Amino acid sequence: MDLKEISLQVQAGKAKKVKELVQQAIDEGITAQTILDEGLFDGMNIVGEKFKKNEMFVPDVLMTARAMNMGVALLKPLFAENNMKTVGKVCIGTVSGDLHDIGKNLVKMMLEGKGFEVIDLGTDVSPEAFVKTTIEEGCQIICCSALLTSTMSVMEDVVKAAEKAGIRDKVAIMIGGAPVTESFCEEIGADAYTHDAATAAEKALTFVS
Amino acid sequence: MSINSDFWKRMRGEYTDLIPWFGDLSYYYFSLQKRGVLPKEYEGTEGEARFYKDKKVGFCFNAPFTYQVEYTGGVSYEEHTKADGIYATYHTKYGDLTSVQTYSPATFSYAYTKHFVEDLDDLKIMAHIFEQMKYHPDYEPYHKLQELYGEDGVVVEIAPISVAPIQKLVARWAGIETTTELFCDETEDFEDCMTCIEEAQMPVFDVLAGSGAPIIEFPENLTSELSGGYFRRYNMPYYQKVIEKLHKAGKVVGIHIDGTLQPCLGMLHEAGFDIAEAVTPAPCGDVELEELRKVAGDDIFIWGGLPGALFTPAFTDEQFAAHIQRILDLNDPKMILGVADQVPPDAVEERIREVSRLIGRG
Repeated sequence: MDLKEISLQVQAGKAKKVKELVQQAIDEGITAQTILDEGLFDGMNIVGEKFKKNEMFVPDVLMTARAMNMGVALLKPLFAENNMKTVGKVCIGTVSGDLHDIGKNLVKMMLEGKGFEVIDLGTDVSPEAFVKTTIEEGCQIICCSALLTSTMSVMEDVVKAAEKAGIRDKVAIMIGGAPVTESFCEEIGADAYTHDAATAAEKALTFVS
Repeated sequence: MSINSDFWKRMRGEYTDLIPWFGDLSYYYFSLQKRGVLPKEYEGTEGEARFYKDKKVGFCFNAPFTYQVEYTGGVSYEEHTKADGIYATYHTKYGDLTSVQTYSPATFSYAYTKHFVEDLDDLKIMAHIFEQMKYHPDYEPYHKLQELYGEDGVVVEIAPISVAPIQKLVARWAGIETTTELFCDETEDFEDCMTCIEEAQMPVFDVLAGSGAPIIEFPENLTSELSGGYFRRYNMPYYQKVIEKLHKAGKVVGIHIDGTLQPCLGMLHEAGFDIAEAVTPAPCGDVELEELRKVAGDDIFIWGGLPGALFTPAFTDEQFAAHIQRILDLNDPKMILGVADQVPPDAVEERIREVSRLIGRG
């Protein structure tokens, strides 16, 4: 079968159809990794590009991610010891004092679409929790989100906590959210700021390649 | 000239030397209260008016609703504010709907951590609740506020939060994830419920049309990244229908768009709005200040331009002043200077007062 069809159905957010097609591809003997890369992730990445250009919006991304995950669930058992090949490991969360999660969730979906394993710490996450998880899980990247100006400063605390724990040179710290800017990123010593979720996922790839 | 008279001059297309300036200080004011550092002279309704006056900030919002809601058919509503959040429940004969807004003491803010609607059954109960709501005019609080602020501001009457049923779901009742799932998986039922809520809410626009307030604000908290795909299908037809009613009553109608602007900003005038309020440009928004007019079109008033984040130490005094100068340099007769959307609790206090000086209002 043509894996482009899976990609198209992922882009359309048709979860049931994606499930059907992924099963068909498995039955035809196509490897799980190929289905993942050329079908599921391909669809998610195209939606990411359209999201960046304001041609698609958050609801589209949500439906795409749901469709992709439906396919991923079928593929997971096919990888040796359930270990899918990932491009890297990311620890993500909204910083302490901030309970907003839409932006953080979008970045998570885009990262998964690029093949990252993402550990989602949720909202209101302390700098210590980011660092602890990064050490325990061996993450290469920390992604911090904030919507409120009054919580942006916590991002600097995350950088400092990573320094204090002696892992700063082993982990890239990425930041994002409405009030966050490139100059703020430079000022606090984080490694990257991106203004949208799709670009964040692309940027994350540069830290693991 | 006063802020109020300059505002209305601009709305009539007349020239004003100085740009009218309004700021929503309620979040900042609330944080001072919570921290226990609000000076005594600013306590209470009259104290709050003095707070705006002393900081030379035009008052604009916070008008109480112009109606009282009565629940019929066995529906009741209860809300409890506790130390950790606001717990709200609608009781109906078909079941209860509950939401939780968790309080973050670090930021003096609330955010939904549980929405009322989690599945189709809940959505049907939501529609039932709206069918049982009756609106009774209550214009007195508006007139009191108008009397209090007079020439120091423009008291704007607020429509229901949010107005369009789709916005109610996205911003308050269900959140974007559940809304999207219901839209995709249960499209027919989803649309039936939207229609039901739309029709049930129509009487409130008669109440708004009959109020003394010249401006009606739709508190939509619109952000294009969430609503860009839904706007033409769900938001616009409804806005057009209800705004026509308000325009016939001589009202100016604004919408609170405090998120990303592309592509919704450019569709707002077509939807019937006269004012796009809380318009947030870069560095916090997705459109540069100098591009706002091009994106918005020529016919709509742009109210905003000054992101709240610029009041914080994340930006320097020079960056703050330079941004305001850029707004002045636009020399846009259809622009009203406003904070987008609020002055935050961590604002550098001097900057609040400084705006008035920078724009020549002393």
